[in-house]
Amino acid sequence: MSETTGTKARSNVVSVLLSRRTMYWLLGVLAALAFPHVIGNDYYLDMVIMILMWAALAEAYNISGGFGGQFSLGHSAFLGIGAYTSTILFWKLGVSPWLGMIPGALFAAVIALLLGGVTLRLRGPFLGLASLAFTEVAHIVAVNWRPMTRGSEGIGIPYKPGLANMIFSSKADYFYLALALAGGVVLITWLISRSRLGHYLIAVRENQEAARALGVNTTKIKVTGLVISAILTAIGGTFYAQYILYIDPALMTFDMSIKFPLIAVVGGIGTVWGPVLGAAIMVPLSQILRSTISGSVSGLDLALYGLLLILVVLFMPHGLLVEIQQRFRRWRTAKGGGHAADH
Amino acid sequence: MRRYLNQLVSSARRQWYLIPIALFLFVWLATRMRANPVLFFQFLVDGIRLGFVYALIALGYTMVYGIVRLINFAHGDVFMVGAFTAYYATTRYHWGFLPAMLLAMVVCAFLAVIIERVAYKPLRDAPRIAALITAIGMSFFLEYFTALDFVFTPNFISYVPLPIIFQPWEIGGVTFSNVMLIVMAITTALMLLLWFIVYRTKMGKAMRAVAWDKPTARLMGIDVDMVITFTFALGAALAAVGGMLYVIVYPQIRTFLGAMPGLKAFIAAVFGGIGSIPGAFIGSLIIGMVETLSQGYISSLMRDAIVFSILILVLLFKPTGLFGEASKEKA
Repeated sequence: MSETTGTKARSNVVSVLLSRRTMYWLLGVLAALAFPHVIGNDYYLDMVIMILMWAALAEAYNISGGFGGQFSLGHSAFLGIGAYTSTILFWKLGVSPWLGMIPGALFAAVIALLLGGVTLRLRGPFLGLASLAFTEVAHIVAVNWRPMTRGSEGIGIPYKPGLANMIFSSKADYFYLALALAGGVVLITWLISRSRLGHYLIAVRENQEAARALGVNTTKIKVTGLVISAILTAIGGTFYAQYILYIDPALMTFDMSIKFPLIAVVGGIGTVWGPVLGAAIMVPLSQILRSTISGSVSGLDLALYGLLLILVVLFMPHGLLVEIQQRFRRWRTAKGGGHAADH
Repeated sequence: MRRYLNQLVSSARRQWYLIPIALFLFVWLATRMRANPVLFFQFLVDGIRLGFVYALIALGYTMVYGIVRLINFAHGDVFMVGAFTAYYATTRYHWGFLPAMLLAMVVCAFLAVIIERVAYKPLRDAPRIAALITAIGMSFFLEYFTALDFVFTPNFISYVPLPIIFQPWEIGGVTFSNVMLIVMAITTALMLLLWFIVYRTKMGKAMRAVAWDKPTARLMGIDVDMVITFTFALGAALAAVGGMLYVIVYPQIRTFLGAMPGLKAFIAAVFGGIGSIPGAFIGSLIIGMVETLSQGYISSLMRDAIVFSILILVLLFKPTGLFGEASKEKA
C-alpha cells in the first residue's frame, strides 16, 4: 500500500519535472533574465520596473484586500513607513537597506496590528477609514518632523552604487531586483491562496457568520492577512526608495493609497494573477495618458483616468482577468458545441 | 436609572484610560480659557460656524451610507459644484442669495442622481469594493474635469462680491457676524426640513425601511431604486447649500476645495455615529470646534492631523460613534 503511493509520488515528481508546464516556467525565467539585454532601452525598462513594482504592491494589497475582502485605504502609509525607515537608517546610520527593510517591515506590521486589531472586529468600512486617517497623520508627521524626514523637501538618497547599498548603476540590475520582488510576492500570495490561511480568508470574505460558526477566528484571520500585506508593502517601499533614490511625504497620501486597490480591482482582485495584469495595464496607461494628453490640456489625463476607472469597473466589476477567463471559457464551449453539432 | 448607572460604571471600568485623557483635555482647555477668554470664545464661535457648514455635508454622507452602505467619495465634489454654481449665479448673473441657493441645490441634486445612476446603481450587487472604486474614480473625474481651463480652471478664485454684505458686531470682545447667523439659521431650517421628510412623510418612512432591510422593503412594495435616488438627491441638495455657505465664510474657490471638507464632514458623521442624523449634526459641531481650537492653540499645520487622529481614536474606542446603533453594525 505504502509502496504504491511511494512510486506514484515519485512518478508524479518526474512527470511534473518533465511536464510542459515546467518547461514553460523555465523558458519564462530564461526570457526574464535575457529581457533587459534584449530591450536595451532605459525608457521601456523603467516602465517594466515600475510595472513589476506596482504588481508587487497591488499583489500585497490583494492578500488582505482581495482574498480577505478587507479594504484598506492606507497602504501608502505602509509603503511610506518602509521607505522612510530604511532610508533614514541608511542616510543617518549607514545601515544597508537590505537590513533596514526589516525594521521598516516590523514597524508596518505593528501599525497594521494596531489598526486592524481594533477595526477588523467590526463590520463596515472602519479599517478603510482608520487607515485613511492614519495615512493623513503619517503624512503630516513626515512633513513636520524635519530633523528626521527633512519635511516636504524630501530625502535624496546618496548615490553610492553597490549591492550592499541596494543601489545599482544599471537598470538591468534593478529589473532583476524588481522581478525578484514581484515574483516573491506573487509566490507568497499563491502559497497563501492554496493554504489554510487563504481558504480562511476567502471564507471570511464570503460569509463571516458561517466561517465563525465553523470555528474560524475571523478577527485573527483578517488581522493576519493585513499584517502580511503590510509587511510586503513596506518591503516594496524600501525598493521604491532605493530605485527612485528620493522620497518625500507625497508618498503617503490618499492619491497614492487608492492606486493599490485600483490596480488590483482593474486586473481582478482576489485572484493571484489579477494585480499583475492590472499593473501591466494601469502603469503604462497612466504614463501614456500623462505624456500624450497632459501636454495639450493639463489635467485632462487625470480626468480621463477617473472616467476610465469608472468604465472598467462598470463593465468588468470582477476585473479584467476574470473577464478574460470567462470569455475564453464561453468561446471554448461555443467551439466545443460547434464540434458536437458537426458530428 | 440604576441600570444606566451600572452601565456607566462598567464602561468607565473598561475604558478607564479615557478618564485621565478627558481630564487632561478639560484642564488644558480651562487654563487656555482663563488665560484669554475672549480668544477662546472666538475660536469656539468660529468652530460652531464651521461645524454648521460641515453638518450640511455630513448629513449627505450619513444618509447615503445608512441606505446603501457606501462611502460616497464624490460627495465632497458635489459640494464643490454647489459652491461654484452659487458663485457663478451670484457674481456673473447677479442672482440673489436665495435663488442662487435653490439653483445650486437643483444642480447638485441632478448631478448626484446622474452619478448614482451611472456609477453606483449598476454595481449594487457587485463586490462593495467595486462601488468604492467607481466612487473614487468619479471624485477624481469631477475634480480634474472641472479643473480644466474651459470649465472652472484650476486656479483659486476670490469670491467677490459676496452675496451677503458682511456685518460684524462684538459682544464682550467676541466677534459675531450676520454671516454666522445666516449659516446657523439656514442649517437649522434645513435640518428641521430633513427631520420632517425623514420622520413625517411617506418617502421618509420608505427611506428608513430601505435602510433597515432592503429585500423586505422591496417585498412591501417600496420602489427601492427610487428611494435610493431620492436619498442621493436630498444629500446633494444639502451639500450644495453647504458648499455655498462654505465659500461665503472662506471666500476662496477652487475645484479641489471639496476634498478636505468632504473628508472632515465624513469624520464628523463617523464621530456622531454613521447613519444617525442627530449624530451627524453633533459630530460636525464637535469637529468644527476641535479644528478651530487646535488651529488656534497648537498650529494650523497640526490641525488636520488632530482631526484625523480623532477619527482613529473614535474608531479605536467607540467605532459606532456617539449615536450609532451598536447592534446593527457589529458583526
